[in-house]
Amino acid sequence: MTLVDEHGAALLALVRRLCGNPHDADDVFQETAVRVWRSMVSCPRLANPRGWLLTIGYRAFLDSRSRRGQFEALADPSDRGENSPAELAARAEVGGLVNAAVAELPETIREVVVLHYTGGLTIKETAEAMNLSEGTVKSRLNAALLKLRSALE
Amino acid sequence: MNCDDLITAMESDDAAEQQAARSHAATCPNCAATLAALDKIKATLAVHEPLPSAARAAWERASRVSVSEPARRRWTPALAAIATLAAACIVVFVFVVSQPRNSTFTQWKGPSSDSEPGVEFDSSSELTRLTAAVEALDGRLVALAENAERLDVEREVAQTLKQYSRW
Repeated sequence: MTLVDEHGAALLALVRRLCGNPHDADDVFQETAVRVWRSMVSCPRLANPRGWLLTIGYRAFLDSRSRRGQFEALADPSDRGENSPAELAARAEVGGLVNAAVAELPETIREVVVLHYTGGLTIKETAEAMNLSEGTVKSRLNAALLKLRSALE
Repeated sequence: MNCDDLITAMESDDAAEQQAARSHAATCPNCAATLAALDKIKATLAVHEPLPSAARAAWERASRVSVSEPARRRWTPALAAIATLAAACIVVFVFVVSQPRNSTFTQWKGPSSDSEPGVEFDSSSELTRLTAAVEALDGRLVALAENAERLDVEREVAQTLKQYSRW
């Protein structure tokens, strides 16, 4: 099982949520792939390949955003992919609300939420990826969850 | 444990704290509702669709691009700065060298017994040559700038690698 087979879906979900539209997300995904392959030349032994991959993806997103400015949200990322009508309907109830609420979050808070919940990075890994303290990450998560919860009410 | 600490406790890496939060929620309807909402939010955000074949193909394409690139020298920002300075010196040198020849040309009135016989100065070809030289230097400067940017990225990746690897 290769890195992309194991964690590629998580990486793509992460960059789609970060970018807000699939086109820019695909570019960031490819840029991440190039960076990963370049560093693979040195055959690194990774203790936490998922954390490493997702952090590179996040940094690629930041670089891409600084080059191109703010990404434009074109579509709900959860709309892509093949789902049955029943799945879509079930997801639309809660998922649609959550996705919309996440998209509305301030950028700094949204990034913490996406790295932690979509990427599955721990608080410590999220803090390292974003160059923040763990306390800051926790307080941002707290603020995000309160906002998301109120969006569901 | 009180209601205000519920979310903080749930986000803690400490399993005991999480368990305490769940125990509290079992006795508090308001916190139970909050906990249920949090679980739904987390479940929604954690959904990963299978990797599309196009993305998989893009990943493989990236490997070919990376592998086919020739091995680059290990540039450092200092080396890049020195190279840029050297390129700038060459530009100045070419400019200075070209000046006397042009002024000689403007004073040259054609072959005569006083001037050097048989020496002709083709201004258009000289100008073309200098333009090409400047363009080449300009191209090198752009390449150096791109290289410096790429190095920044590679250094960043290497730092990340250091964080996540055990050697």
